[in-house]
Amino acid sequence: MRISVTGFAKERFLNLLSANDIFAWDIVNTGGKLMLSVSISGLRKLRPILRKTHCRFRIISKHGLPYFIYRHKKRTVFVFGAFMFLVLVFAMSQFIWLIEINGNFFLTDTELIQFCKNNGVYTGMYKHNIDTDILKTKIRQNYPQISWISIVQNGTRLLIEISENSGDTVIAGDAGPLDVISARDCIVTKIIAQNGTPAVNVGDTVKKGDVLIRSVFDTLDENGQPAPLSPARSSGIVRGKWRCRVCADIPYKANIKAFTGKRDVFLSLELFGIDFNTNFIKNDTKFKNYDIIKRNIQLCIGADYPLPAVIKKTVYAEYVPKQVVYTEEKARQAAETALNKKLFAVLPQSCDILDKKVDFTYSGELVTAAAELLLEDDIGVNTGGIAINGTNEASDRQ
Amino acid sequence: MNGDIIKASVADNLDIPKEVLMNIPVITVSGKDEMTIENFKDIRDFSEEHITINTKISKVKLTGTGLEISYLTKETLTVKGCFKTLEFG
Repeated sequence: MRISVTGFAKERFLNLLSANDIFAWDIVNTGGKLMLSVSISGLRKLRPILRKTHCRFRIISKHGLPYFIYRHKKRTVFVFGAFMFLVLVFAMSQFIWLIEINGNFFLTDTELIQFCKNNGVYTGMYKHNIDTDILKTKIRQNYPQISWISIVQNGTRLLIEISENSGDTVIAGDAGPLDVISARDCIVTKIIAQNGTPAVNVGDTVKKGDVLIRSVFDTLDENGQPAPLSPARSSGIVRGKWRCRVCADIPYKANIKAFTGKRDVFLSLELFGIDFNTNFIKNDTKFKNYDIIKRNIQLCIGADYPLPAVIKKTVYAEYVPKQVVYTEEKARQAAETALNKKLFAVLPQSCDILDKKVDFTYSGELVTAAAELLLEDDIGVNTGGIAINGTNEASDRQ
Repeated sequence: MNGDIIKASVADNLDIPKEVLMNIPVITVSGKDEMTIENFKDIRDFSEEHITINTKISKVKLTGTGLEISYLTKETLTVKGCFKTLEFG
């Protein structure tokens, strides 16, 4: 409540306010008037202080929730609406409105979301019905390439974080179910057996599926005789190097898109999975050649409460198709860029490039960039959990 | 006065904050536009150009323009505005 106080002993008035523990704020002394804000309970305690200091006060304005409620208490529909708003916010926060998937590289979001839907987890379901442990197990069973998974439910969002392995399937030769075997043909550059006995040496050439670390220990008993072999899950670090060749072609003549800068923007609103067109006209562009850029904006309350509403923005960007002829230098640059893109897509993320030699060949209409690579990576794959020759896990062997 | 000397000596020797034991004011000035004073006694004079506050050790006089008390409780007082001088005595 904002009040103005007039009188002669304004400083004494302030001192009595603080002495009586009446909280006051935004106090200004202008033109003989003291303007200040006090609470309702503070205002009730003012009377004896005003009498003591021979001051008078006048209420200038009333702000705050108590006055707001008082002003609107007779507006039943408004009060009902406000109450319903709170009820709706609470009710809506009891459902899952967004399933977010992170960490996937080979698997697509759509595939995983569809799998979740088939297993009874979908956007719009009651969030307390989700059993994340069961879902985790089902996903891991169905996708063996997922090496790690975490499912966290935050507000109305279900966050699925996964980590994929390279997806290489290894065909084992005479390997036991607990051995470490090679994932590719290569030359061994490093072998550290943490558990088990190394089966190869540095410099050996190995083929895909060859045993690298055997799951047995060569131990001697007290008489100096070889002890019975004790199988255990073998593990270790084995790195190998190999050569490979990656090529990328670029034609001298290329069709490019010369964007004119003209754009058509269409907005639509998706509520509870139903699409509403907000432009009230047909979503159709008059452009002849265009690229479509789509963007979905999920409406959220804070970071953890996505709402069942998505604004869909579709942009049509007009372009004119043009044919350009590259010069030798430009074609070479383009070929190199294409090669680098291909290398990024083809090579495993963990591998090191020890040597790289790029050659360009110019033939007729094409420029070919070829990279001769010497690569190094971890090649050891533990066969413990993978079914080999009809056996699974160690129990069969033990 | 003797009591104060004893309290100061106790505070020094036991590493206890003096403002707790002796009730002396703590004045915090943030930049040129905000001052908070704790353990004040009373306000002697207040206008938009100056404010004089009584404390246990001396008077504190602050001059400036557009001064206002943005927060006033029993023990703490915060002044805002454009400050020019701050004097003791």
